Amino acid sequence: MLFNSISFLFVFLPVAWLLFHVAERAGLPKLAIGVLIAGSFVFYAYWNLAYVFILGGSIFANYLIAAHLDALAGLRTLSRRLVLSVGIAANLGLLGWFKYSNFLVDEFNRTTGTGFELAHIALPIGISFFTFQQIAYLVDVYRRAGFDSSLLRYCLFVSFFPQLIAGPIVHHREMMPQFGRGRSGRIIRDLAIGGTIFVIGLAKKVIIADSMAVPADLVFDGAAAGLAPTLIDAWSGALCFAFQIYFDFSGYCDMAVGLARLFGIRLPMNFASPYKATSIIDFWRRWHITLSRFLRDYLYVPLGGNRSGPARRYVNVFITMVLGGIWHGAGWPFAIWGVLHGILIVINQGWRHWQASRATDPQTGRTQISAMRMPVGIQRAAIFVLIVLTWVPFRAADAGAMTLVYAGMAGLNGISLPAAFAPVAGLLPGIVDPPGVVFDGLAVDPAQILLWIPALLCLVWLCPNSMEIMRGVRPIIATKGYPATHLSRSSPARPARFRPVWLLRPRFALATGLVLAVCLIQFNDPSRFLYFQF
Amino acid sequence: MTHRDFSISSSERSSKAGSAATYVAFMVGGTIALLVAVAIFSHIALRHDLIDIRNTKILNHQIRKLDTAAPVRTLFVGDSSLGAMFDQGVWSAVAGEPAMQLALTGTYGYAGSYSMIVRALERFRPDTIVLVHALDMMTRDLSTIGYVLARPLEPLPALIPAMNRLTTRLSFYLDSQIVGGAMGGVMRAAIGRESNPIENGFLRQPDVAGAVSHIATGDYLRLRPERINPQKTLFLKQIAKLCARKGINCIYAHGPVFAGACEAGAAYLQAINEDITDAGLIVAAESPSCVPQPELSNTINHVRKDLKPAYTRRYHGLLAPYLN
Repeated sequence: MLFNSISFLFVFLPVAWLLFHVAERAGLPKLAIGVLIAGSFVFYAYWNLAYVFILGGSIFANYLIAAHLDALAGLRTLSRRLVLSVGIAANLGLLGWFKYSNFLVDEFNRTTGTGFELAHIALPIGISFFTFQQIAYLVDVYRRAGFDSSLLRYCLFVSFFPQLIAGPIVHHREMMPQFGRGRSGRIIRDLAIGGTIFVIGLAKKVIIADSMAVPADLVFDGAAAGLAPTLIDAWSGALCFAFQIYFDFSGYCDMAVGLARLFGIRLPMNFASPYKATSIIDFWRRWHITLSRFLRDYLYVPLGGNRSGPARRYVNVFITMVLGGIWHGAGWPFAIWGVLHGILIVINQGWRHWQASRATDPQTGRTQISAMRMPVGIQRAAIFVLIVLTWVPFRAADAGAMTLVYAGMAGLNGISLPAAFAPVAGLLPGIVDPPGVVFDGLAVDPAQILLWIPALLCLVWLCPNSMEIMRGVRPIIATKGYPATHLSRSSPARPARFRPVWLLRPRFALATGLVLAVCLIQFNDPSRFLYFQF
Repeated sequence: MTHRDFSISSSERSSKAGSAATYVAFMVGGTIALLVAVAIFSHIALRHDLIDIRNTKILNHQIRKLDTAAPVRTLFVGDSSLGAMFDQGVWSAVAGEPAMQLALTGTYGYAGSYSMIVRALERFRPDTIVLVHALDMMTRDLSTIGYVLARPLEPLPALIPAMNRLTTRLSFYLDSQIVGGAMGGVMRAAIGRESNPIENGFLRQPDVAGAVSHIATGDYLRLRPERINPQKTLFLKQIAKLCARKGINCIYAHGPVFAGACEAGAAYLQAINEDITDAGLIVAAESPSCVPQPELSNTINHVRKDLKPAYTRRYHGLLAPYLN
């Protein structure tokens, strides 16, 4: 069931919301949790009934392992470590089987010339997310950082439908205390806040992301079919995909936050204007924040983090990014994407290290006046271009398609202009018809290039994000170490140029209602979120 | 974790609850008000023949043509792949007898063709009906909007699955195509500018030759067997039943299409030919006619307007074995 579908919006959600609040108002918090769990399983079963058994089995098995770890709390580390290892191995085994086995068998056959056959294994939706959440829980129970004996709360922590399919990857410490605490006096306020955030997310998905999908698909699907995009088409396709995935994921995150708020629950911020990043490190503190946090706390730090010197730190961060890339999917393009980000982060960290060493006077140990810094706008633009380039392997169906798109972006597939430009070229020979330029037209609608792309650049670079607009009602949980998630409720001492704040006022309600109406008119054919495939 | 905003006084809470209730009321009310306003706007635009989707103008043109035309032995129905390719005069000259073309557009789909056949049969009974549709038609959505637009016919429930029946009725006036078409149509009417004039029996095709880039392939990359919409044969089956009941020879031919699509869609073509045959129609196996890029107009299904006579002759040759 898609968040942007009629059946979800007008059947599932109202029923779940009503039953939940009836149970809460009746003073039955366990029943309210039960309603949410039942709703979440119905929501999950809508994709495929068989998946429910995988989700349910995974939850139950992990709960038992966590309970066993907790029961062994007073014993020696070795036996507890063994239980934890079994738990993590079982989770990774499940994820590996469903997500990577087909790919590994295919690659093995390709490299060895063998012909092993494995039935096509369908990926249970959201498995990457709920598996990571449960691994984090097991590790924390092992670290004696909290075990909640309530199976009901644990079940809801894993299966809560707003974040079940595509995150955020929530932490038990931020979620489980919120379950069953009763917020019956705030139902309407939560409805207003959650509804507004949901509508903002819906608009991002339905109006922007889906519009950007059309030209992006045209170029990347064409490349997958062996058709080489020319310069403008290749850049247009890459830019449109960069905006598609941005607004698709941002829209999904807003919708998840809004939906959770309808049930009185706050989620952590997962998306904080990543195209405003001024470095790759900054980008990863803004894009898919909860994945980044998971990788930091449960992979990078256990690998040694920055505790063993710079060289080891670079290796650790590189490994973390490559595994983060592979987490997104089985295939070389995702691995390449992870490698690219790993290299960029290592370069970024090395640069920072070098700058820091230059900024300190070796004689006195004092900080010197900082070296020349590029203006923020140029930094943002440069990082944005790098990010667009790294999206190419992420979107390309295979290495061949990726190469064709990169070749197009480098101008190696020639330059094609709209046929209407041909007469102009005739008037200015040698200026607008240099060798290699043809007038074959563009695959991507020129209006999309000229109107959408500049408008969206302004939106992602200059405007506050939805959570900043909603900051007055504390819409999300901030994450330590991720400055962009810390939203100040009060107005800043020195207001920025454009910092609108949402208020519970009729005019804001009307604006939200109008946006919702436009989204409903656009509702012809709901499309899936890109992150559902991970 | 603390939640500071829980600790508000009861009077503050009731005041906030009051403003929240007002907010929700305005949000829901605003949504409903806009949807109702848009629906009324679409309804009025439809009643005044101002909806300009691709395209009500051609529907009205074809209905007027049918109302005044003399009976013919061969009737052509279909979408713009037919309209852009077919020259009624050339066909009549080549075939030695008059034929009639009642092409609509892809928006109407098979539903539109069914509608035009029903309308035509109220006036006369042709010996042969030829359906010509774009090759990718079987990948498109069920044309319920086309059905409603091309009304009045027998009741919707008889043909369309329950879910579509409900959403079609509920959402017809709020469909983005209809709303956009209504807005465009009203604006054009306001400034007195005619849109999409009729030329040589169909909507005027743009004066662009070979405008489809060599990589404008989105339209034919979907020509894969797995992209076939199983609901699409609903109206084809209705047409086949109608033809059988009236004893009319009904032929299905794929419209001309970019040569690249012929290559890429071979497996798809075989699959849809089987589906169309199963629906009860005879498929002209020699179709589609594969068009080299320089002969295309603005889509991969439209030939250049100066080539209409040539393609009409080509389709005459291709269909001759199937004509009564």
